[in-house]
Amino acid sequence: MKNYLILQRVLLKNDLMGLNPFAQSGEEKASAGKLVMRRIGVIVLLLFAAGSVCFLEYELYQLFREMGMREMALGLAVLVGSVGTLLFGLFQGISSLFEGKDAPLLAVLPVTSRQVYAARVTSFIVSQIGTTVVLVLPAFVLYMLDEAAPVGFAIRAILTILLLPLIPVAIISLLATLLMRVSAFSRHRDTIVMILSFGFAIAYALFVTRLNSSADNQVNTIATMLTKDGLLNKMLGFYPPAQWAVSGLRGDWLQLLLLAAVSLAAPVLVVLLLGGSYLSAALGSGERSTRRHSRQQALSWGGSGQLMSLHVLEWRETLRTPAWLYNGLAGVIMFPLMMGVGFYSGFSAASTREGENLIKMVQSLAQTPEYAGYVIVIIAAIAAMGSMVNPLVATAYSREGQNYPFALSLPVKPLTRVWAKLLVGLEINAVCALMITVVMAVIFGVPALLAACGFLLAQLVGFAISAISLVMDLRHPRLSWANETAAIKTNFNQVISMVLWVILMGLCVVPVVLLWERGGTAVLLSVCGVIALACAVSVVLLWRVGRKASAQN
Amino acid sequence: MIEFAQATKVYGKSDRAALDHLTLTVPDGCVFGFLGPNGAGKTTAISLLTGALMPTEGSVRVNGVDVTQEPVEVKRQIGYVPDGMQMYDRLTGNEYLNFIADIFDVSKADRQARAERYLALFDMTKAAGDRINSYSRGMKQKISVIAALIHEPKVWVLDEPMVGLDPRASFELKQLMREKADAGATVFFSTHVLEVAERLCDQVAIIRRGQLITQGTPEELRQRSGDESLEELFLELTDDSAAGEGEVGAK
Repeated sequence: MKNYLILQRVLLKNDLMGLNPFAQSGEEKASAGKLVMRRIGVIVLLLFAAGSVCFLEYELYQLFREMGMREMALGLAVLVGSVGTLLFGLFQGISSLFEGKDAPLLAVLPVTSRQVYAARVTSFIVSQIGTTVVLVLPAFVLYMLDEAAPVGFAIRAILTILLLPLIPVAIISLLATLLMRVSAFSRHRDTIVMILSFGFAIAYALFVTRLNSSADNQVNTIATMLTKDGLLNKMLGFYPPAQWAVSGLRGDWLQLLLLAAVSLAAPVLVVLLLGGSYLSAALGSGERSTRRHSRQQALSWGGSGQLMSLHVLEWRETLRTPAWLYNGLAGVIMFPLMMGVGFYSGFSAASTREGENLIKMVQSLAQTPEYAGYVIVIIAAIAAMGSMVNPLVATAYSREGQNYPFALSLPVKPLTRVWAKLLVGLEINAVCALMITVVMAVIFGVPALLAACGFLLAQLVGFAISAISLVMDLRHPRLSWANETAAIKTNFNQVISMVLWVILMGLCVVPVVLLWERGGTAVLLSVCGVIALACAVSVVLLWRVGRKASAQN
Repeated sequence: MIEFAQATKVYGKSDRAALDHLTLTVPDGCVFGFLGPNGAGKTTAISLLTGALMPTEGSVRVNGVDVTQEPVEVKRQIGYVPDGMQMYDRLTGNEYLNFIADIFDVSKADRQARAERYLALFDMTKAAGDRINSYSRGMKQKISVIAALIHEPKVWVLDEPMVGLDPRASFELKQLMREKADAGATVFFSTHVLEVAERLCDQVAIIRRGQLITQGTPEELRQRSGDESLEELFLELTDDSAAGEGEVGAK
């Protein structure tokens, strides 16, 4: 126990130090004034990001409150906090548990494998509690303000926040450990891990859909579903712990007790089951199998220009690093998948007359020429989501890590390097936007020309956000990270990139609201104007990088 | 030829220069050993030379081209073997060599001929199709050395090149360094292995706390210090307790 606590303290301290948003490279070069300004900027951005989550949850809460369904806000927050971890946490789990560089060091220390595993799982839980706090706290606070007995609710809320991540983390730890065991000595381990992880996410999404559609058979009409408890139960039905949590928050202490018992038992059970052989698996994940005989085709000598070569390097680095591939492609695969799942659910619900009518109405609106401008803008806005969820561009320089000084020693102009990295981001954005556009075009029967215009507009948004984010990362790369996931997840440039996306979307919303009554064309033109301005800013930033090449690299 | 002219590097708000007005000339055809204790400024000097850092003051020139003014042109002339395994280790050995050859615009025929020669020399031909992250430390070092030679650089910069190499590879590397220098290239390397420096180098410089404290041929240094070995001289010059007392001419 003593060793576990010592280890735990060190791991947590190390993780917390890695989260310091001020620890970007270049701090030592800045003047005192610049340093203060940069820190103020960081704080403002953090407040902005937190404010955006609060604002969104406030608006949702008010909406549900007006409908007399405050519990829905709680339910949504709990679902996002727990199921989100389950769905998107697998690769973070693999990185936290298996891709740390410290496994060889820990293996020679006088600590048991189970103690190390327990410490790792605990660190993972703590990181997920942090995420849960950000996601659920605003909704909980708003709910508490309306409660007659706020103190009791506050106690239940704190307990819920602490308990919520435990089951998802236990499931992820179990899956990650099994996955690493299965793929341990294969030369194609990364590919296996990648495919099985995406397979898990897709299977999970389909499972949820199946449960939803079977629930639809029981809840025959949308009107029945829209009763307070009917909708809430439907939403939480496929994840019982979420149901226990919401019931607990509403005052059912027994349900809360059930949640606590299962939540505490789950990680303990996983540690007891798998902890004993954890270290050998962790050490195995650091091993790389080699071929007894090198393949002859590997000795083919090609040749391409600097841009193409750097571009291919970027792709190879991304494709061969599961954490980066998963994070980079998560948007590309998961977002259109979610839309597809929603579509599938929509059709299931459309077995009722109300659902059928709703879809027909939206389809007829999408095909009305007067609404063409609105349709393009809406498609562009949703398709551009890919540029927000893709973290690869905003961390492209930071991910170079210890290779960064070597990369600087290569005879390449900075602008060439920027473009090689930017192109990867733009290509991923394009694939994501294309899939979303196709899904939307199929769902709503959008004419091909309008869909293509929406797609192109989304590309311009992606270009502006990606170029600005990349130049920021070039100027302040965060080169020191513990593992590949940390290179992305603990990088503040990624947060800035998301905030930029929100700001650009906000700037587009202003003319949309002001000109809505003037028709789709006016809305479209005004949005194009804002996006053109953003593109101009990014072009100027790129041009400045190019100018530096002649004087300083 | 490499020229450091009053080259100074101060990191951020530090009150001490990591490299303090270093003035040094390394002629063509010379194997130059750059020595100093840990933290003396060797890697900083190499970073200035390779264009990874820019000097706070002074200048660094490679074959007459200023690193600050024409960084890309300077980098084109340098083959750099970094310390600390800095390389794209998710690539295979071949992919990495091809990547470096692309960056330096080496023709297909040349890159193939050179890669095959050096891969064979360092016994890496079979391993070249495997990912670099499956290599041992020594194998990574070998690939790094081969990559630095793929464009036949006029200036070869090596940061602690012997670390991790087996005796045969170490021998081959020393032979190569000599061969390149004899062919007119400049070979600039940092090392802690003083016996290697003594036997291999045409000239040696010792720095301490960012300042050059002595420079000359190994023979000259021995004569100036009364026939001490390079190791004894190094220990004497870099002894902090005797700082400022043991400086030996030639500055």
